[in-house]
Amino acid sequence: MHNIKLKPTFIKNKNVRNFTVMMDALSLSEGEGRLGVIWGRAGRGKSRTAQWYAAHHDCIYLRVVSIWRNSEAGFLQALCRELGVSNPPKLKDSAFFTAVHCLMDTPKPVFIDEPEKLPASYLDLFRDLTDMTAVPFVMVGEEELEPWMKRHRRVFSRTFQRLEFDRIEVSDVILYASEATGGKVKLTPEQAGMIHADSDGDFRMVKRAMINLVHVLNSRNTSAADNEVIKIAIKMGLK
Amino acid sequence: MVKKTLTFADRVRDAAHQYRGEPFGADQLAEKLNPNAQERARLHDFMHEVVTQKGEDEGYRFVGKKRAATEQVAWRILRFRKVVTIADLEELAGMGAAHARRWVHALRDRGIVTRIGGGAGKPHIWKLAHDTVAMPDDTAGRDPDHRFRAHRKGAVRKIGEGQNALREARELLMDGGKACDEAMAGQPGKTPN
Repeated sequence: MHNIKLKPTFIKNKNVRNFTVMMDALSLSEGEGRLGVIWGRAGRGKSRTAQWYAAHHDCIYLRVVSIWRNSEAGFLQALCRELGVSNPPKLKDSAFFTAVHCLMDTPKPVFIDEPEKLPASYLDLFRDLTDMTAVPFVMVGEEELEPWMKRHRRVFSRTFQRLEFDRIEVSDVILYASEATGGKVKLTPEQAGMIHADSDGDFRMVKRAMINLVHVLNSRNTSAADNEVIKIAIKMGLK
Repeated sequence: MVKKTLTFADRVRDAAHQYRGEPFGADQLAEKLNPNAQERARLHDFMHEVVTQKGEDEGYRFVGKKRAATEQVAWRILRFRKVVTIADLEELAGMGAAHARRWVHALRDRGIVTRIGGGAGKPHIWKLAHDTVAMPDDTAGRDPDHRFRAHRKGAVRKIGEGQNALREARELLMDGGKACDEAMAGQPGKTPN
């Protein structure tokens, strides 16, 4: 029997579908400044989904780094670079207007990943950018993101769409196992449920369990996963 | 009564017909059809072959949206993440492993990415060392399958041209070479001496 290989696979689960629907809904209110919020616990696939969507739909994706906490100019320069400006201006206001000009020229949704790391003053900057360019700004972060934005009424009233990334489901585990192994490993709902219960809906942990499962199956020279093998694969993961 | 099994092409045609002349995109049609992974890959071909050509006669239209080139999607992923593995490109850009490896090696040759880790059985990790903002043009279209398809298309076209030329030559010879002689002499009605 050939070794089973785990192919990197992007699963379009319920969260991804909701994400796409949310972006479509956000595009309906074209012509006015608007924000979107996507939040959820770590490991649910928010950032990966945002990257996947942004790459396939020609959007801007910017992951916040903590050094921008005291440097709005640094953030604006990074935004300019993402917008295709090779040498962004050093001064804050020049960088701001360059970004505005670029976004007005070629309007593209902007994803800001982990904005809750930044001070609240940035919310006004995002508001100004979306108001002046009518481009949607979508914030992607963890659970504290929504309360962080809710504290600022002027900003939250511009938040047209909100989406919580939920736990992945048992059916997602079955689909992932099948697609990533090219249909060689077919889990029963009970077996997928065991992996799902251990992972607590965290996709990274499901992926880790699947890597372990494939190792065990390859070492046994079989593709038929029984409950015992699933238990071994789960135990192999770090707690 | 015998139940007719609808082919995927029939389903595409039926779904397209429901728009009754209104323009629609591939994504909207995909939502209606709910295709499996294999059908989804074939949907774009069907949109061009079934909907565009026959659709206009039957009163519906197809508004095609140009798909971003895989390398362009991979380039965006590289710029977003700054550090990638081949597995990331496979997963997020939908590239094949060999295609992704070739593309990354082309970028390495131009000094755009450098390897920062991996090797000895571990996956290589590539870092964006020099951000050129726009993707270097000469790194796109290095997919040998794509080149093969382009060559095959050219070869089919040339075979068609050759067959047409042969058919014309055969028609000329059918009337005992008279028309052929006239064409050579350039004087209709007179045969060359």
